Amino acid sequence: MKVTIREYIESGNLELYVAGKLPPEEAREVEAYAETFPEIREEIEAIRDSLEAFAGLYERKPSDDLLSKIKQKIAEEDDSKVAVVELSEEKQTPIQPLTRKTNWRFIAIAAAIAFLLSVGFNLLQYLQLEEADKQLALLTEQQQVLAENYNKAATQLSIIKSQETQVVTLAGLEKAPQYSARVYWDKSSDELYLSVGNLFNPETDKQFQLWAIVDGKPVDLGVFDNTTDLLKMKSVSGNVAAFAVTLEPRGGSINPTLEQMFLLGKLG
Amino acid sequence: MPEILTEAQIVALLVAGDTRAIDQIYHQFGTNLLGVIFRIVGDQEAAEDVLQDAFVKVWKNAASYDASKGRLFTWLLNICRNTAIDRIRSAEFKFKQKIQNPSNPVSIESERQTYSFNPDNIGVREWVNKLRPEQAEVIEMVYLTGYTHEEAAEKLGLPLGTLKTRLRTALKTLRENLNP
Repeated sequence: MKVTIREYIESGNLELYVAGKLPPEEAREVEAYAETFPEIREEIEAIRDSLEAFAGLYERKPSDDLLSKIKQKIAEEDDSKVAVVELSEEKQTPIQPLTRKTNWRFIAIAAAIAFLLSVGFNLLQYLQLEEADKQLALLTEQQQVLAENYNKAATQLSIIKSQETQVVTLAGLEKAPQYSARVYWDKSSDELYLSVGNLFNPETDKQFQLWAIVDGKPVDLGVFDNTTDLLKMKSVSGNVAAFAVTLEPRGGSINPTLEQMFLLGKLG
Repeated sequence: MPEILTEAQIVALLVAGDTRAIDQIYHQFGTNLLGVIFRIVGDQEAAEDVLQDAFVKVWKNAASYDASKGRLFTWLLNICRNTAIDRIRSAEFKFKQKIQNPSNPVSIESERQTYSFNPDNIGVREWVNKLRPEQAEVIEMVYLTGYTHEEAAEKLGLPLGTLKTRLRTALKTLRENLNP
């Protein structure tokens, strides 16, 4: 590598670079090398010092009025820029003369591009905001559902855990011993919950009905479908001997259909 | 002569479109720049004309000056040199030459042929003692007056390799003289 850098330095390209005589692509190459290799950077600076010092040896006394001529020419240059701009704005000429006009066109194009980018960016922002709003609404809804579920579950759990709650297991009768359910009866509040262990899906015009046998008589505690949820049934109080589940026409019956009794749980 | 500003201050004024930058450049570099231009065009009036054009370019292209790529003087030198070379290649310049020297028709090449190195043109002499004339000559030809390596080799009747070696040795000598 050392040899290569040395060779590069010796090639004479760096001097031409400093003198501004390299074609643009070669000049960019030199700049890239200079960024990478400190030796090349230092060499360029040394060459620059040398050539500036060399040029500093050349002197020629200018005429006394040269500076004022230069300043006048620059002022004319600035004026001509303004004049060209005003002229072309008045006439709306499609042919664009001189460099200053090109600058205006460039500025106009740049402004248009900037504007379009800005519009695009804002639109993107707006769409993203809208999407974020939707997401937020969805999340809020989900959060509400979860909170409701949590509250329900917490209430149910507190009932199940309560020492006041009597748990009664309802077992399948002889014709279908595989079926089961469980009743949670909070004696402090008389509230009653039912959890289906295993039941079948009846025909759509049929529903299960829970009964309590109080003082030898069936008391309706409400109808239910086959579900895994913990169901809040009607409250009951008094001397309950047993809970029973029958299959009844949808909506329930006033009196249980004994042939269609599936579950029975007696209180001890 | 106004207060001398630093290069960075001058560049800042220039970019801001403040004409005090022009005063500063003129007072700090004008004599040198005119000296280099004169060396190329060989005529006081033409040299001053070229310098005016070069200043207009400097004024118009202030935004293109990149301080990270080189110092102000180098940038100014390059603009002046290129403007001067454009001038001697222009039809108008050749025409004037022809009018003034009808016996000596001018082309780019004949302009080159009239080239002769003369240390006295440079106005400062102490470095000549250390830098041999042929060394100063190649530096001047290649870096100041815009000859390509090939053109300079041909003009001096040297193989290209020899020219490059001489150029490097010359720069080395120049550098040693700058930093003794």
